[in-house]
Amino acid sequence: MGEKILMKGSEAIAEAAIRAGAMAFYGYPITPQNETPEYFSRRMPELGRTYLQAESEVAAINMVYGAACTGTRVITTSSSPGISLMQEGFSYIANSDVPCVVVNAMRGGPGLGDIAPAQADYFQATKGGGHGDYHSIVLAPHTVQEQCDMMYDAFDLADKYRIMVVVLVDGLLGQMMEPVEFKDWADVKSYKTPDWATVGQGERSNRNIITSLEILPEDLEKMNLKLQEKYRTIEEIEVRFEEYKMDDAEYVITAFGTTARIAKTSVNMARKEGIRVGIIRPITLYPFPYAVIEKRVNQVKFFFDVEMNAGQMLEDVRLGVNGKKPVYFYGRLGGMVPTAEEIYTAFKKQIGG
Amino acid sequence: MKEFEINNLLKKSAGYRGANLLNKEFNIFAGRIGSGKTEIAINLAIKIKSLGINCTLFDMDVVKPYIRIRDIKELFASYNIKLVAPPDITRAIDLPIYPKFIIGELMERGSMKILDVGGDSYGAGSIAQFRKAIGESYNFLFVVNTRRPDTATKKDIIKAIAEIQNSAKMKITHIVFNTNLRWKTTSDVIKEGFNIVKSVSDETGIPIMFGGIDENGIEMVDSIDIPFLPLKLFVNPLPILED
Repeated sequence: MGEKILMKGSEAIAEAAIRAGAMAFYGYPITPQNETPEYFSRRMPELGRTYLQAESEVAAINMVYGAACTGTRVITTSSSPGISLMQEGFSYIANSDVPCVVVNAMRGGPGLGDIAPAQADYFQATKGGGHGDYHSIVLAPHTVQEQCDMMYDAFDLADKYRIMVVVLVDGLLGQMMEPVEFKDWADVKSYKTPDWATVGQGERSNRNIITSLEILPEDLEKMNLKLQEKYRTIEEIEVRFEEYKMDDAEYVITAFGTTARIAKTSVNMARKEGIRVGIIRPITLYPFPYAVIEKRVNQVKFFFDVEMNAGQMLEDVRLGVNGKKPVYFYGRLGGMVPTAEEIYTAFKKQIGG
Repeated sequence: MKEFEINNLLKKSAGYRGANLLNKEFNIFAGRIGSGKTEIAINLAIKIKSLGINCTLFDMDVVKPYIRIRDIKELFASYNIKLVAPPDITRAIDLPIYPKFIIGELMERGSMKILDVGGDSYGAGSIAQFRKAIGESYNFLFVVNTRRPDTATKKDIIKAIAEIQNSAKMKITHIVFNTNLRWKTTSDVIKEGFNIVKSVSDETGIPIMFGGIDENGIEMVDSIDIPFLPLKLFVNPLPILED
């Protein structure tokens, strides 16, 4: 780890990605994450790496797809409407088994919506978004430091599984200024071009072909089964979550990203009044940590899910709870951010306070 | 630490390398993105108003999409500070819109004007168009935090000053020292930063007018011989998560 510096979330994402070995960035600007591409635009040429502002998000994601096919560590960053435009590319990338990293700094939707922070792209990120049976690994940091650390994990996971990894943040986390320390630079020179990469036949006896097309249904089913096998492995070993003050908890708040961050303050308010509440914070939204929810079902009286949307992760929490305890919900919409007091008040209503 | 006695800064010189006077009609805060301009501008406006001096605060940030003065405009009404900010809709829209009647507001005489300008040369450059309205009675203050990646060394700070001067078409008259790591700030971090900023001042001849310090950590600047303005943080929206 190096020296501590003060960084904005949106800059820190770029610097961390660069240190984690991102060799190419393709993207198109959109508020509230313009500082990220801007940062890349300054740093990538300094390091002899590629920065390219495409003519649209559709072009950008297809450039990412192209670079990913060569086994290069590649990244794009955007915000909700821009991410919607990229969905076709995501689906192609999924079926092509190529690695890449996508950052979505979510803003208020649907449609053009607004530029305020939101979490309403949970469904889109975790349940597909593009067509077909596919998943991307979805990581949800809740501090600027965690965002930095997670960029390294994002690239490693992408390479390990040949999969797209989404880092799901929101505009607010991008605008926050916090002290951070970066991990050491990834040794990019030590990365070998993978044997599946389309970089020319070279010494190999056959050409590599990467495609998302299989004309015969029998073949396409096989391809899908292989993808499903990969997802089962990921669900088995890559689940991450944080439990906050859960040891003696009688109640549990579930939240991710910015909302979890705010809810931690709410939990501390409750604890001051002797109410034993904790937080389960999914860090991987896909694969979702169902097991920890199941594990805590008997311990707590109810679950209280908080999100900046109309209740999206709520469905996964309910799947984990499986009807055994009540699951209540509090959400703000359209870019409104709940305060810690507000969450606490809403929570207290459920315990009759 | 020299007590931040605003009367001193209004009447006689203080700071490092002297000749530091706040008693100009305009105090314009510029600097790299994230250097702390907005918080310092707000705190200074409140301080000046507390002396009974008429003070107008200008939100001229056309760079960042959130965390601007206009987001907390109700606060200024409670302090009886006149706020000149872009139309309300820009609270939620990323358009570089200036406050209406801006020229008239700038040319209005009889109050001290504090301008919070957007970050980097983009933000500073956009005020060049108001050069005539600002006139000659101004301080153009460069806020610097040496724990930000672009202003960590003497060389980078001098480069940043040059860029901002070029685009704003105004000379930086003073430096405002604002090295911090938010809740991870230590007196060593501040001391180390002050030495860097002092070397900038020595090389460029630009005096350091004052420093900013979190109001909960003023003991950290005891050994540093410039006045410090204790800062209450206003525009930061998320609670701190200590580990």
